[in-house]
Amino acid sequence: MAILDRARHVAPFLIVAGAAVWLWTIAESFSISTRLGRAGPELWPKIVLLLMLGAALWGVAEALLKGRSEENETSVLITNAARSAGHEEDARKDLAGETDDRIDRQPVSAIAGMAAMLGYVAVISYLGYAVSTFLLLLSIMLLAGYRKPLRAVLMALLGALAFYFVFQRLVYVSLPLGTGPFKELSLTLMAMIGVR
Amino acid sequence: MDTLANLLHGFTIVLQPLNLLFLVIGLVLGLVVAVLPGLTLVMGVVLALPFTYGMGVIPAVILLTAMYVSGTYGGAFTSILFRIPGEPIDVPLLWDGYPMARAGEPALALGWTLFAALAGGLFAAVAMVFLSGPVAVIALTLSTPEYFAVIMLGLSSVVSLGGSSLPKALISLSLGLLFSAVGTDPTYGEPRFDFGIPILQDGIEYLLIMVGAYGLGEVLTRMEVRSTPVNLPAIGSIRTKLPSLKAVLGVKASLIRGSLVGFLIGVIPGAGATIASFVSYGLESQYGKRRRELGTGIPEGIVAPQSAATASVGGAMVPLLTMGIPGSGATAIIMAAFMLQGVQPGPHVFFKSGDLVFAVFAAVFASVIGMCILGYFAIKLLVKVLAFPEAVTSAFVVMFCFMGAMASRSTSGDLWVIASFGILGYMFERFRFPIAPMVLGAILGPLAETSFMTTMISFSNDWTVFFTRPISGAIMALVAVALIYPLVSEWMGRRRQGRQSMETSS
Repeated sequence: MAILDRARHVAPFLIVAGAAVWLWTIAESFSISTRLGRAGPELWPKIVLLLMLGAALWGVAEALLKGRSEENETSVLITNAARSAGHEEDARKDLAGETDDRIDRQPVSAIAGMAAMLGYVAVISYLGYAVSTFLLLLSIMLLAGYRKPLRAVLMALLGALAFYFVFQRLVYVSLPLGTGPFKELSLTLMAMIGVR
Repeated sequence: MDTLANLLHGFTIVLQPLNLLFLVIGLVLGLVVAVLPGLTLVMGVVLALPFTYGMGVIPAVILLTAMYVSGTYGGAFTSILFRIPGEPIDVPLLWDGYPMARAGEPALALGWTLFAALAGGLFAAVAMVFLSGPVAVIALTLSTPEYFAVIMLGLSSVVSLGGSSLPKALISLSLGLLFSAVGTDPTYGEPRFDFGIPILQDGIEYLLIMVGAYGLGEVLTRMEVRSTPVNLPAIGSIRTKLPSLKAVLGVKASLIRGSLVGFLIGVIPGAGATIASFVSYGLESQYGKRRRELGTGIPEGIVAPQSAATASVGGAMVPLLTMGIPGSGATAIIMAAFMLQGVQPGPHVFFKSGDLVFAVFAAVFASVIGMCILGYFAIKLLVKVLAFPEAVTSAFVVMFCFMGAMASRSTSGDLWVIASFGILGYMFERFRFPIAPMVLGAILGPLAETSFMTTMISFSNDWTVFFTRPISGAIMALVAVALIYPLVSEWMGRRRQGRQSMETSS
């Protein structure tokens, strides 16, 4: 378990270190359009990449040496102030929401939420703005644990129409119409709110 | 006299009907987001940002400033009445505000909060007006090496004060700086990190980073860490009872200390209202007249954190308006509102656009007073917001985020970018990387790079100028102190703990 715990802590830092090295090789290829010896367009990104690589290696070393499974993510000023007031443990729990017995962890919901957001971006040009917005609103409500499906449908419908109205009549942004029957639906909606 | 005349002129701008309307809308939204489950103050200000595109710079900044001010106050209601902190700022209020309410004095506890917010906010607003001028005069004398050092100080204090994992904060900052480097390089016009993808060739808009990471990322996190709806307990008639003048005079030392500490902490980039609130409570426990009674429900335990939290807003406006350095998530968004309108806050704008600057100052004063009036009369309605289902809020937050992306450039590519930053924001939360350094890095990255490159070109690639010139050298030394401070503090904490456990075992 200790090895797994350390691997879990080290992994993000290793990914960042790998990304920094890869981006460095890309920065090497920026063509230098300046006189020899002058700082070129790759200098600033390379300094930032060095900082990133250094921080990632520091993180790896810290995770391996300390092997801490629980990090204190609170600012030192907050920790010191709460400690001096005798509320260090209360502050840690209250800031982390640990005293809240209403909490229930569901990582699958978050992954499904990501899929819904990416799906929305992928289908918006086919289904049009109104239909895809209705579907996204509904799916996020249900995935986030709203337990009244009929009310969710109604709110998603009204919400999608309200957003459509705001875009078309108030901020004048052109929205994806969709294709086939969805385009017909979008045109009908536009006609209903007086947009030609 | 000039300052007072300008401030008066600022009030005439704020009190124009349209600006006043945006001020009231901002106050209501700030109070609501501080209470509403599923929304944080920074998230609320971010969601309002895209709506400022079509406004002028003055109403846009008035709206966001009003949200920022009232957001430091709204969460106090639920902390005191139900022991549910709306924001991390409100956690210290749980230790005395809630016990006072439990002891049968909820109206008085709310009254002390209102009084502290009003007094702390007004004190900081006055200090902000009179300190900004001299700071801007100093900022005007800075040349590029010094300006670069000031930006580094801002970024390093955000890194060191944001959380105790320095490597994570540094990674977050460097990612933000890298995102700002995507697209055409500002000095030579060379394309960088665009991978031949058209949407990256114009660079990544910091607005998409902010809205994606703070908005969508937070929604995804809340979908994972779910809380069930709140059943509000019956607590009788909710009202606010103001303390008597005699009682107020009894806590004047706590009030002055809290307001001063809050203002000074607000000035430091990276240390916002939450740190101000905690530090002020910590100081009260060390130096307060009734320090031994703290935690039992005494007014000093409410006045100290609340006055500091509200006072920090006035403090945070000083580096933003005089040097263009935002010190927190909320001020970074206000700075973004300036930049979206083509205004780069800093000493030049401070002296050349007096109307704008003094309108912001007047907006802070008006917001502090307005939020207290709203808080006094609308508390019943605001508390009911707590029962609103988080799932519904989340769904609409997602749509507001996408709406912001569409309203920006109306390209589908921006939707992919914002969704990607939403996922990145969630991963940050999941692996406990702070988001604020990335956002500040993305905003300040172009300024940092430009001042760095200009210095390098002007001083023939001599990077030592940052350390050998007196002012930039001194500021760079402060950068080093800012970065070393959390390490030293952590080490001392561990030593103290070790000593305590040794004493306990012996």
